[in-house]
Amino acid sequence: MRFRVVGVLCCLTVVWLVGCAQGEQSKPSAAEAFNEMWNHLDQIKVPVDHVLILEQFMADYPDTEQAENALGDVIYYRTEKMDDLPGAIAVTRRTLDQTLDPGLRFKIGLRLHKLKHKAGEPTDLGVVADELASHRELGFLDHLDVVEMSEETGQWDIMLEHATAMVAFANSTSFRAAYPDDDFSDERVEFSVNRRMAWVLAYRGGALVNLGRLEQAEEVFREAADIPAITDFVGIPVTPLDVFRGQAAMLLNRPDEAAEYFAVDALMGWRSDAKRGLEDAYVALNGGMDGYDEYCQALREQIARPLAAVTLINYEGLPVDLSSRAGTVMVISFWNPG
Amino acid sequence: MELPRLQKIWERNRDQGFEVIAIESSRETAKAKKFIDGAGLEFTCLENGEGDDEVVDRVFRLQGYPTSYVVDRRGRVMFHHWGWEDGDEKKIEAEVVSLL
Repeated sequence: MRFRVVGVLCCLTVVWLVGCAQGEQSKPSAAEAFNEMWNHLDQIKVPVDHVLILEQFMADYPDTEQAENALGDVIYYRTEKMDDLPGAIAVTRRTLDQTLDPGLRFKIGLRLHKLKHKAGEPTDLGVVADELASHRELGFLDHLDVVEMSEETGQWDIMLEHATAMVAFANSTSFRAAYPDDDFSDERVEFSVNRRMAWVLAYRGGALVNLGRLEQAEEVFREAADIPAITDFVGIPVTPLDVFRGQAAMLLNRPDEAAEYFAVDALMGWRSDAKRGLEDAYVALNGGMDGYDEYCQALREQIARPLAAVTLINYEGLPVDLSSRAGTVMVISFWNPG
Repeated sequence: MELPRLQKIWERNRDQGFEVIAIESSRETAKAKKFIDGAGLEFTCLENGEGDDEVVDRVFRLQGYPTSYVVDRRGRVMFHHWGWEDGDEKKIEAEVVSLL
């Protein structure tokens, strides 16, 4: 294993030295070097070795999109695999200091904010957003980044401010302007605008719920009811709207309604707040957790959807109809080779 | 990577009417075949269609990768997984066994 790590480090160093000897023209681009590194990382299983290679790459290619991507992995390994939150904060802070590009500083600033919040250090998400705003106007996705981070770190005033700012982008003119090279159909634009508005209303409502402004939140949720539900195939909403509605219903002492809102996210999705919400609603309705598993099973029977009848081709060129497999239990796994 | 772990689950439960179907979404045929061969995957591997036959975005509207559905004998999607963490294979196998 160590041979591989040393090999990669040597490889990066040799590439760098050759580049220096032959002039900057010969140095591989950050994208090329990143792809090369990634192919080697696939073979390495020890977290600390991953981190060594990634941090060397970041030192060799500072102030690049690829360095910011590598930072994401360093943070993952240091926090999730190495139990080293202080190390993750130190690397992120150092990377921020070495970065000049405003867009990259914004992304790194968001990462640092999350880590500092996790460590219980004082941090202000507004400062991160304001720094980018001093260079350029924030777009829809910038606001969405701030809003999602504010949800993770419980900064509801900032969530409300940026969700409200997103309204200006939830229209067809703004959407088309954001993608000037694409010739989207009217149908596609309408879908995307609806999705943007769903995000706006979900987060505005969610911020209001968490700020205790329930009447205003309910107004926002009523407005959201006019937008077609946007879900994936199994019915999981693409926005946290239903989770926030459920939280509001709980605060208004309507646990039966709350359970309906939480159900799909809790049983099919990945949101831990939805799972907690469904449990809380169940306890409020039943006085305890007895029978909860049976309740979930019954709910699951209600929300389960039949698999789509689609036909795809296997690698021998033969068609396979997914719906023809009735009678077997299946795992359908969607993947890509990366 | 989830597919080699699904291979193990398939090997342990295939005799009881259990199948795994992997759908490669991005139609990177050469890379996919290389991975499938390298990992020794023996279950059904399919490729997403293109144009009107494209299904991953148009029909399933996935929110991320990897995504897995656990489907019961009546053809209903009973469990859904997004992402993959250490230990998920135990969770998925328990769900599969509960439906067999």
